[in-house]
Amino acid sequence: MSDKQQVTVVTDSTADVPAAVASELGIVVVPLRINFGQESFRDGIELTTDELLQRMAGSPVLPTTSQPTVGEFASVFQEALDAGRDVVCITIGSKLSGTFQAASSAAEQIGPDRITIIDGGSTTMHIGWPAIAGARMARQGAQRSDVAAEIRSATERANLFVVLKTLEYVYKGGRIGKVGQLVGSALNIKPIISVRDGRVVPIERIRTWNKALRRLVELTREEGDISELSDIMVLYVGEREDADTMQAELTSLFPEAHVAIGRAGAVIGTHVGPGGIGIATLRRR
Amino acid sequence: MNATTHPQAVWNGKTLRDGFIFAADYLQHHRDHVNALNVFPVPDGDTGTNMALTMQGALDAVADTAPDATVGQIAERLAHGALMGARGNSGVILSQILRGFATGLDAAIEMDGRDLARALANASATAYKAVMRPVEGTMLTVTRGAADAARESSAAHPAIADVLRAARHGAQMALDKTPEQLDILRQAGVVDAGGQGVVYLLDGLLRSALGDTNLPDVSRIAGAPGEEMAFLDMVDDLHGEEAFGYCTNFMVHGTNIDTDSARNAIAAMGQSAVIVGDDSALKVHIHALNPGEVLSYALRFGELDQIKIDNMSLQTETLSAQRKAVSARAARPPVDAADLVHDDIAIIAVAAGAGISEALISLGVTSIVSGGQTMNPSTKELLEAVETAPANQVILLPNNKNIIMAANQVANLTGKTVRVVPTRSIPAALSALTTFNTDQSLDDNVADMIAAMDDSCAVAITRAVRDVDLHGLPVTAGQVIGLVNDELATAGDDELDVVRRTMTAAEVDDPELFTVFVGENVSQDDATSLESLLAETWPNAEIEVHHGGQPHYRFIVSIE
Repeated sequence: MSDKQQVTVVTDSTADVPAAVASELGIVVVPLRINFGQESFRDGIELTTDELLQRMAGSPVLPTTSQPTVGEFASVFQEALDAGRDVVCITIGSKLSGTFQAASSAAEQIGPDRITIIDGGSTTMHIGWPAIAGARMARQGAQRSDVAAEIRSATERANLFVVLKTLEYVYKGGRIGKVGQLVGSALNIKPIISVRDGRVVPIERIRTWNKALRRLVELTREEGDISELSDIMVLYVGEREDADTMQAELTSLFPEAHVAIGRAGAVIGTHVGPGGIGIATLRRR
Repeated sequence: MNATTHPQAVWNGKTLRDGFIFAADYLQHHRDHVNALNVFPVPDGDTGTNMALTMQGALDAVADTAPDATVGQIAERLAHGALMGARGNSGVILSQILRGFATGLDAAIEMDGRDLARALANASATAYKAVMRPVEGTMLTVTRGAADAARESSAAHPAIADVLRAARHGAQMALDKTPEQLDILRQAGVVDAGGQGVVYLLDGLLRSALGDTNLPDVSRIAGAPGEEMAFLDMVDDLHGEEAFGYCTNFMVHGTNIDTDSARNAIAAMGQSAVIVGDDSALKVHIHALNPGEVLSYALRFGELDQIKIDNMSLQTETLSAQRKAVSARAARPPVDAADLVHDDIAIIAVAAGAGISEALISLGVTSIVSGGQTMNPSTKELLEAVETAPANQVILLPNNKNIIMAANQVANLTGKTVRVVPTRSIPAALSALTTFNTDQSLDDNVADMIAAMDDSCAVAITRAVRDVDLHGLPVTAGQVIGLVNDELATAGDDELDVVRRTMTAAEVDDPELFTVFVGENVSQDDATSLESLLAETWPNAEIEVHHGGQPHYRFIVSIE
């Protein structure tokens, strides 16, 4: 880590920033929790996505999720301040989770003058790409206001489309918003959803899985000219095969972009279900 | 025939109106004959019915005109009434013929044969212009035949009756040639139905001008198809939610059948009896608790044929269970009502059947205009749905090729912004609706929907209402037929066999999903057999079976 670095970027585990990337860029990840009855697990630390899927397959009751405590954010922030750095923290959207509130309370206690909390307005790599963009800038020695501005700008340039094999999990998880109008569908559909203005919204209702996967790529293609996208991540929960195919397709479609593949964490997995596949993109400035 | 009055030489507003009133009656009287000319042997958008109802709309508009109204005023009102009442493509074209007729007369007070010839010429020109790609061998050709003959005759014989006689003759000549112009008519062995309607209207006008206003006996003209349709309609009316017992259908072929006593005796064995026929054959429909008793009794009149027995109690139970499931879903709490309205785009779809309507609504349709295969909604009904829609931008899904033109008319009649996505089937509507995106503009949505509407293949299974030989495929009335994207694909006596062959004819590579809508009065057993057949033939595909509740079409299947 460079000595001239002035800012630590913090995010939560729903951002789905791959561990290797977080470690390389010095992003600190605060875990949310997954609760099976009385048992509670820290996302990604005490419960991996594979372990979640095994438990879900064996349990008739779906797990619930909960935000990190104020204390967990406070200790992360304190550690950064003690190391002589300011903090910029981007969280899952405040309309989806209480995480932003917890981080804000922690900042208030620890050092409001040195900590900026940003409501990410969305989740998974839709906030993960902005966190990464901010961390890249922080590595170059930028100060807190510049890193925060970069993260805010990147949230405007990021986008997310997710296709669900079933609506069951998002429905039971309660993070439903306008997706509710899909639940009563008389026909079986594979909805494509996104997050707009902080809420989960239905984008299209596709009837078959393969067509939905193709449509996900098309929607990404419609995001802008080929040279406009700098980063693309294909996210999956359960089976990786479809994500691999999609990554290969996007790589040939967007030769100038960095196309990665990533696994959604256990909290996202809880709300999306094993059959979810997503594409998160970041446009260039 | 009445003692004829003098043939009329000049028409005023009143005699023109009388002429059209009789012409509409005359067309209505021959409606079944026109319906029977449908090329495809399917119970589909009947041209005779559509034209007769369109004329009814035209007459409604002149019902309260002043006795001294001019021919120009009467014609103008007829045109407006026909426009609003237009049903089906033939109705829309008829409304354009009347529109041209009215503008051709301009504001004339009276008309003679020369004025009539000019009005007919303008009617023909206007109708041609109204159709994007005019096809010869249709009612357009027949109308032009009438106009050309009227013009030639009017110089020498300018009396109204003389010009009408010439016009009618010219129309008939053109009609007779339609099978030479359209191969599909030749194959089906019929003349063009819309053209026949035009001939009947001109015939009616001529008879009115000659003072010969008796309606002829048409019982011999109206062939089996018309009777079959009337029979089906009557039977349809009788199948309500309360139905129980066995829906029993069969034919008896015999000699010297005492139809009256047979009808009375059979009707006494159950409810909702519909029994038609003559002394050589009876067609029977009855709801009986003991169908065996009915069949045994009928045997005394001759041989039984086309026996079909469905358990309605089971059907009714299935139906009410499905209704319960639907209302349970409707009662589910977390859906915010405000979320259900697309910000400012409403979607209106034409459909028949509760289950199909529900499926469309669950994919984002705002309101349903009832109609489809046999009853095409009028322009006015579509317009009213547009006007009452909770948005200023409206997307119309006609879901039938014969409703697309009427839907297109609506755009010109309302202050709202209307776009027609020209869907020709329910499966096309489902495909189009999947891409509807609340984030997008009206035009972007319409472009996406049009691009998506052919993503699915539409298969329909129904029964032939007439004998026909199309593309070398012989079909007998009553046989099961299969259609792929509106084209006749297969025919046969065994339903499952027809289904299998139709699905194969659809040539969908590696299908992923079959969405089956089961028609009303289709037994649970028949639906289950079809589902098993699909599951065995395409083990990797998903199969969804819904109660569609549509009339006439036993199954509508979307293949994706």
